Amino acid sequence: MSNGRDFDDERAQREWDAQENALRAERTGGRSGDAGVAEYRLIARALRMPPLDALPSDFAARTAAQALRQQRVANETVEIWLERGLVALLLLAGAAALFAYRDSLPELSFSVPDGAALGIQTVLSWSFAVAACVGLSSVFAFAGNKR
Amino acid sequence: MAIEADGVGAGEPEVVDADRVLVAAVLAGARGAFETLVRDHQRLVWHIINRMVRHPDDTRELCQDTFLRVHRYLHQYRFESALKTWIGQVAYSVARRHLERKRIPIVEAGGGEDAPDLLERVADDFDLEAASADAELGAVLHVEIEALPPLQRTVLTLYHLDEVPIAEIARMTGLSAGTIKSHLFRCRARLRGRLQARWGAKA
Repeated sequence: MSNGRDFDDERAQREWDAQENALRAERTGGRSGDAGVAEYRLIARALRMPPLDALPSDFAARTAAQALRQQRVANETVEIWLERGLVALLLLAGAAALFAYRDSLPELSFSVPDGAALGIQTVLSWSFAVAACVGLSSVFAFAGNKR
Repeated sequence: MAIEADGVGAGEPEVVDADRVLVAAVLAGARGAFETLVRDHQRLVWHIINRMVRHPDDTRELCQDTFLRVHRYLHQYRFESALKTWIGQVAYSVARRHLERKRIPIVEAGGGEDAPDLLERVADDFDLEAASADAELGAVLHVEIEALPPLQRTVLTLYHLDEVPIAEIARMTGLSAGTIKSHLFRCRARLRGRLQARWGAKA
């Protein structure tokens, strides 16, 4: 309102001024001049007292608690997916390493010779198999608990 | 009718400083900071959504949804406007989307009557004293206000009850300051006309 006018039309400008003067008079409790302003004061008074429902007294506390709960859940979800990604990466890397070095790995043997003492190769093979089973079970149990 | 648009400036410096402190505390996870933010702005959000939606249960739910969004996206707030304006913007968009989903129009189809038509209905010889003495006057005005479309009802409440400047209402609603002024002008002129018509009919 650089030139103090809001409307081109003279009558519209007068009406707007009456509306704004009424608003100011109603806020400050000052006197209103003409009838137009006085009428708009009645309207301004009604507009300052709309029939609004009351805000629950514990609204802020409940909303803040809900926001923190949501943030915790969101953080945990990110953490779970990061862990899953890392486990998958680890498994892939392991599989790739086994594949890449398959020729240099000792040959696995799960056969136990009849009536003979267990050979070192058989013991190593079974130890590897048991460790792999325990490891995978632990990984799946951990991932299941996180879900 | 030409309406000048007010410039839309940033908030008061001291308000922005207080906003910065509060926002930093919330983002740092300071105990009670977000509850303070909600308490500081819940009245404004409640008014915007209540005037737009007018359904108590939906209002409660949408107000909470507004603050949950504020909490989630607060790190994106860049202090380009006062925090109050930014939160009001979120509340308005939450309420508007809710009404759009329910296919409830937020403004009158066709934009309503022209200003000269509205002013033709406003008489200068209205018996104000008699109308003021009418105990039903307030109730009649409230019925007329409630009958306004959601956007106009909200703009009037923000301007009159919450004393939000036109430039800030424009930012909250994404409309130009000229459009906000036009809504204010037309709604108040229409309310004056209805008031006169109603009281005139009784007299």
